[in-house]
This record gives sequence, C-alpha cells and structure tokens, in this order.
Amino acid sequence: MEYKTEKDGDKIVCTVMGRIDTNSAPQLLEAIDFTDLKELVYNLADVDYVFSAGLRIFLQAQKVMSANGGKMKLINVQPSVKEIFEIVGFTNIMDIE
Amino acid sequence: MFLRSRNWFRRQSLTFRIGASISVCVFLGVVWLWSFLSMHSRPIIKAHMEGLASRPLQDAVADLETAGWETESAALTIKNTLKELSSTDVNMMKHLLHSAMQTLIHDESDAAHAWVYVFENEDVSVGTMYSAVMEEDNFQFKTTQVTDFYKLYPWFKAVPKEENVFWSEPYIAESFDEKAPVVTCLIPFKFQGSDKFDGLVAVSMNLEVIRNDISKFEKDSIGKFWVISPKGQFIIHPNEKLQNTTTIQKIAEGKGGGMLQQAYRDLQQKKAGSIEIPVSTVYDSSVMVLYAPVKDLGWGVGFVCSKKEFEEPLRDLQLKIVSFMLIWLIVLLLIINLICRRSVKPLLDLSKVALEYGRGNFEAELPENISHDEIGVMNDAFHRMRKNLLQHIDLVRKAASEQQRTQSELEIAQQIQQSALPVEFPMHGEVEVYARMTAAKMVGGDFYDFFFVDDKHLAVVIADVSGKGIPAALYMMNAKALIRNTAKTGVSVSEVFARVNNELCHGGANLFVTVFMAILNIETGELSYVNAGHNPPYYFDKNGYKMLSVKTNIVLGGLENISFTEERMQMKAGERLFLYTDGVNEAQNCNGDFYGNERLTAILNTELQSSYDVLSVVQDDVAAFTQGAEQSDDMTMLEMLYCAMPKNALTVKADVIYIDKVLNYVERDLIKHKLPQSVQTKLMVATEEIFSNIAQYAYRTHGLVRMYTYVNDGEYHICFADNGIFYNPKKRPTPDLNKSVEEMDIGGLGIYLVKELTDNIVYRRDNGRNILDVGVKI
Repeated sequence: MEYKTEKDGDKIVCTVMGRIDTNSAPQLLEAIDFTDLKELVYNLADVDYVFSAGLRIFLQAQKVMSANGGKMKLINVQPSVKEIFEIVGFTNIMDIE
Repeated sequence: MFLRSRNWFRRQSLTFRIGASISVCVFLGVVWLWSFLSMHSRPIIKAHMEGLASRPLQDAVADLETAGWETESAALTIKNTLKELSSTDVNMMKHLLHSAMQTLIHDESDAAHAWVYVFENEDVSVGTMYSAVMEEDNFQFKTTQVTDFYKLYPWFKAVPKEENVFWSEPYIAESFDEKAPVVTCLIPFKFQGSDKFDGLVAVSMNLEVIRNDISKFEKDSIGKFWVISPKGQFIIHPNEKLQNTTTIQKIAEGKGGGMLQQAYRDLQQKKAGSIEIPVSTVYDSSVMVLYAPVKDLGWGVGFVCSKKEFEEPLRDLQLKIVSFMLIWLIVLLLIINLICRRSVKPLLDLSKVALEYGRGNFEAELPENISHDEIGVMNDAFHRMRKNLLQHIDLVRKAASEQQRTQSELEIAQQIQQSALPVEFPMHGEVEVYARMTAAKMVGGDFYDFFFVDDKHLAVVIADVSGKGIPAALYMMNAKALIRNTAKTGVSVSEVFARVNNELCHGGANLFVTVFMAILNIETGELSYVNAGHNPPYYFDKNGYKMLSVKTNIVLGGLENISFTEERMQMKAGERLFLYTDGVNEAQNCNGDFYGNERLTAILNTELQSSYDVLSVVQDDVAAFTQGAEQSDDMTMLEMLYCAMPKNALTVKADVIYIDKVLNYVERDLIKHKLPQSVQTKLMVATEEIFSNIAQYAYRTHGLVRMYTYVNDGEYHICFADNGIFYNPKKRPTPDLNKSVEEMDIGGLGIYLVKELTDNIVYRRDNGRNILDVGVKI
C-alpha cells in the first residue's frame, strides 16, 4: 500500500493506492494530524482491496472526526470495495462516494 | 523431687554453685559450733552454779540447825528441871520458864516464847498452861486454865507415847498479844515418880526471826531460799504470799513439777541434791535448785538460782561467735564471687568466640592468653582449633569450587549438545517432523536429527551413544556430524552407515552408538531405512500404531567394514513413523518397574493427536508412570508425518509479515481461474481475514499455516490448516451493525465479513489441527 497526503488549511486529502491490509492500515491514521482538522478526505480510486483492518481504521477515523465536529469522506471508491463497506453497514455511517 | 532440684542446681552458674556450697558448709559449721558450745557449756555452768550455791545453802542449813538445836535445848532444859519436881508449883514453874527464856535470849536464840502445859488428869485436853514471853527484855508470865487444848493447838493430834522431841508444823501463835508465825518444839515430861506423862514442854521459834536470818544469807549470793516443813509447807519462800499457805506439792503440780517432787522426796529421805526447772515461780527464767535437809527439824532448804545470769554471758559469746562467722561468710562469698568471676570471665569470652566461630566468623579475636591455668590450656586449644578449621574450610571450599566448575562445564556441555539438535520442525507441505529430547541429569548420548538431503529427500535419525558424561557427548556430536555430512553426499542409508561405522571405529574410543535412520522421498512417499542396533520404531497407518518389524544390524562403531541391510516401504498420506530411544520404554519408577513397550503401544493408540501432541502425550504418560523417580537416561522421540499434499499447496509461517505472500498466492490462482472481480474481492478479503487471524491468535510462539485452493461443484475453495489452539470462527457472535459511529464496536467485524462474503464455510478439528475451508460460488 502507498499513500500521500495534501493539506489545505483545515482540510486533508489522503490518496491511497494498493491493498489496505492488516500491516499497512494503521499508517492511514498515523499519517493524519487531527488537530483542528475540519475535513478529512480519503481518495480510494486506486485501492483494489480494503480488508477488515482497513475498515477498522476508517471507523476510528470517523469516530475522531465526529468527536471533533469535522467531516470525513471516502471518494472514488471502487464498486467491489464499496460492496465490502455495505456488508458491514458502514455506508450508513460514512460519507462514501 | 531431689533429682529435679539437683538438675536445677547443675544448671546454675559456677559462681552460684560454689557460693551456695560454701554457704551451706559454713552454715552447718555455725550450727554445729552453736550446739557444741551449748552442750559443753551446760555442765560447766552447772558445776559453777553448784559451787557458788553450795556455800550459802550450807550456811542456811547450819543456821536453821543451830536455831532448832537451841530451841530444842531450851525445851530439854525445862523438861529436865521439871523431871526433878514432884508437884506442880506455880512459882517454880514461873522461875523455870524465866530462866529458860533468859538463857534463850542470852544465847540470841530464835525462840520466841515457851510454855509448859500440865494435864489435869487423864484427859489431856484439860489442864493448866504456864506460858512466858519475852517482849523487849520484859518477862511476862501467864497462867491459863485450858479446857480444850486441841482447839487451841489443832495440829497437836495425840499425846506422845515416848519422851521424844516433837516439832510442830508452822502455825500462827495466838496465845500472845501479837500474833506471830512460829514452829514449836514439844517434849512430853513426867514429874518425879510419875509413871505417865504429866504434861508438855513447848518452846516456840519465831519464824520471822528465822526469815531475817535466812535473808541475810541471800545477800551477796546468787539465789534465793525457800524452806519447807516436813509436810512440805513453805516456811520461807521468796514470794511471801506463798509462805504458810502453799505446799511444795501444790507447786509441783505445775509445769516442771516432776523435778520438784523429786526434790521433796529426797528431802523427806534427808538427802541433798540439785534439780533444774525450766519454769520457776521465783525467776522468770529457768532455774537451778540446790536443796539440803535440816536434819533435826525435818525441814528442807532450797536455794533457787537463776540460770539466766550464767547462761547470758555464754549466749552473748555464742552470738558474737556466730555473728562473726556469718560476717566472715559474707566476706567469703564476696571473695568467692570475685574469684569465680575472674576465673569464669575468660570462659564466657571463649564461649562468645565459639559462638562466632559457629556462625562462620573466624575473624573473632580470641582473648589474650595470659594465664597458664586450665582456661589457658583451653584458650590454646581454641587457637589450634581455629587454625585447623580455617585450613579445613579452605580445603573444602577449593574442593567445592572444583566440583562446581566441573558441574557447570557439564551443564554447558549439555546445552551445547541440546543446541546441536534441530528445533525448526519442517512443515513442508508433504511432510511434518516433530522431535524432542529430555536430557537426564548427567550428560547423555541421545540425539535426533532431520535434514533434507536434497529437494525431495528428507532424512530422519535417532541414536543413542553408549555411556554417559563428556565422552558420550563428544562421541554423539561426532556421530551426528558424520551421519549428516555423509548422508548429504546423496548415498543410500546403508552406505551412510557403512562409512560412518568405519570412521567411528577409527576413532579408537571404546564407545558405540545405536542408530535408526530413514530417508523419505517426499514426492513418492518411498521410505528407505536401516536399523543399527536401535529400538524398532512404531508405524502408524489406518490400523493405528504398530511396532515396525525391522531387520537389526550391528551398532555403529563396534566393528569395522560391516555392510548394513537396508529396507524399503511405501508411505501413504497420513501415515506416520515414530522413533524413540530406550529412555522411553526403559524409564523406571520408584519400584524399579520399566515403562515398557506395552504401555507405549497403549498410549500411542489412545490419543490420536498431531505429531507434536503425540510426543507430549507420551512424555506426560512416562512422567505419570515414574512418579518423580529421578530420570536415569535421556528420553528422545521423533515423529514424521507424511501428508502427500496437493502440488499447489502453500506453507508459510503464521506471521502477518507474510500476508503479501499469501494474498499474492491467492490472487495469482484467482487470475488463473479467470474469476470476476467481485468474486476475487470476496476471496481476497476472506483470505486476508482468516490468515491474519491465525497469525495473531493460533500459536503462542510460532507455527505454520498450510493452504491450498481447489474448484469443486461450481465453487472455488480455499483450505487453511494450522496446528494452533482450537478455534472455530463459525461460533463467533454476529456484531450489531445498526449502530451509530460512536457505538459501533471495532472487534468481530472480520469474521462477520468472511461469513457474509463466502457461500460455504466448513470447520473441523483433525489430529490436533484446525482445518477451515471456505467456498464461493463462481
């Protein structure tokens, strides 16, 4: 898995590539500075697979953002990946495009 | 009781015991001295008192005798004159009496007055009394008609029948103006020519006068007098109240009266003597009484002396001596105490030092030895003891450290030996090998080994070197290396043994090794093996564990240039080979019983676990049998399981770092089968989840995961197998997904995902392995 982050004021866009698995998933939290963050966007256009560890990470990020009064968004999610989010019910609690 | 007090005494300090002993001796000496003085002083006192008392007594007796004699002489004179008269002539009588009284007064006699009584007729109670009294040199004469003489003198009982002198008992004379205590000397008389007694001549003695005389003798003497009448009445007594009122017999009724009665009896028999009376009416102390009779009067005189005056100085002396001795005893005790303390102190010092030595502190300084007495000898002995002990301890210490060094060397040897054994058990897809060696306390010669000769051939070895200790360990290391190196040249098992045997025989050591070695072709399952004097192995097939019938060759290292018989057999999937050393079947319990092959066969067939578990189960069973008896030999076991897995199988270590390897393996296979993206995603997610789950939870330390894929009945399957702890993912609860972000739990999602993504999940526990098979419709 690879990723890069772009910070624009109180907004961060994190672009991820590859598989989000057990080993790599925690980096997606560690890479983000949540201080005064109002908007967090994960661009999953190049993500083939999101495994359960990745799901946990997105749930944690969502909890932190909700607690801070910010927003989190997952964009460009592939249909096969989105299906995984649907199965665990995350489409109800997350903004997924 | 005596024993107990003796034991108590023995427990006391030396000072106390010596002091107490000497005190008792001195005390007994004082008591003896006291008794001795008391006993021996008594006769001395008595003699002394008798000497002092006899003179006044003799004087008193003489005085009384004189008084009696004078009174009696006066009476006799009158009687003799009357004897010459023929009739009663009053003038004559008056003259007679006057002259008699004058004589008495002239002679300073004690006589008080005299009278003559003339009977009227035969009746003696009626008569005429002629009496005379001298009062201050005036002579008075009186004539009295007596009508009842006995009333006047009641003590006068009868008319004497003979012309004897008769002395009256003391009485108060009332025939005068002044009453006076008197005793009267009576003599009957006859007128001339008369043949019967015509009257009595009486001369009285004034007892007051006698008392005065006697009291003179008491002056300057050591005692006081008493005088008794013949009937025992006190005529004179120091206590005037007793005079004329009390008899000696009455006093004798009191305490100590026996002696007094004795004195009275002696006096009646006119005998003198002395008595001692503890209680006296005269003195408030014990007294000595010397007594003597006054012969004519029939009286007795007693001289009472207080012993107190004589005994007191002696008692003072005794007290002084005893006090002096007691003071001396105290001084003696102080001196003994001082000496004992001085003598005992070095002993106490020595005992302190001895205690320190006992604690192992040999630095404790012994007291300076200055004396040459017994304690000095002991001190010297302590010096020598300390020196010898230190030398001895030094020797023991050296020996102990030598032994410790040897022991630690042996332990290191054991560690090296253990570390030479492979512990990474291969799970090669086609074959699994497990082994363990439990070394006995001593370094032994057991070993096992397994290694790939090439890509297809796995060799397993179990061996037992004869003997124990360092030589056996060295021999074992050599044998193990030779076998491994020779086998890796690719020759047959029998050839390996032939070469190794010759090498070992060249070594020259008088040791040998029993070896069983097998080489398995993991692709075909062909097994070739040789047994060189080792225990025949067990073989597991569909009928369970059975001892394998193998041809036994000679041990390695015994005889040079030997050829070994090699045997072959075909292993099928799931079959096992179990190797062991005699440490297993010959394990002994406390009663000396062997564990034996029957028990081994039984336990192997009761528990069908994974190979690793089989070894544990056998070891636990042996331990339960030996019940803590010390393990006498190394216990070594090895099991090889032939799996004959599909060719596409993947075996990886159960670790998340291998997750990419696993995912790539699955992805490649999925692409090969040209499955749609959605199916691919499902299987990839399921694979990632199942593998990371096994990697994180199945093993405590490390283990392997084996997986393979297959297509069956329109479903694509992935099968996972691990030797980890029992875990059935199907039994996990389904998480509640209708929760808000805050409430949603992170755990349990993965397994839920697997269940949702796959169409078919099968879990089974097989031979100690978790086998999970997931299938997705294609």
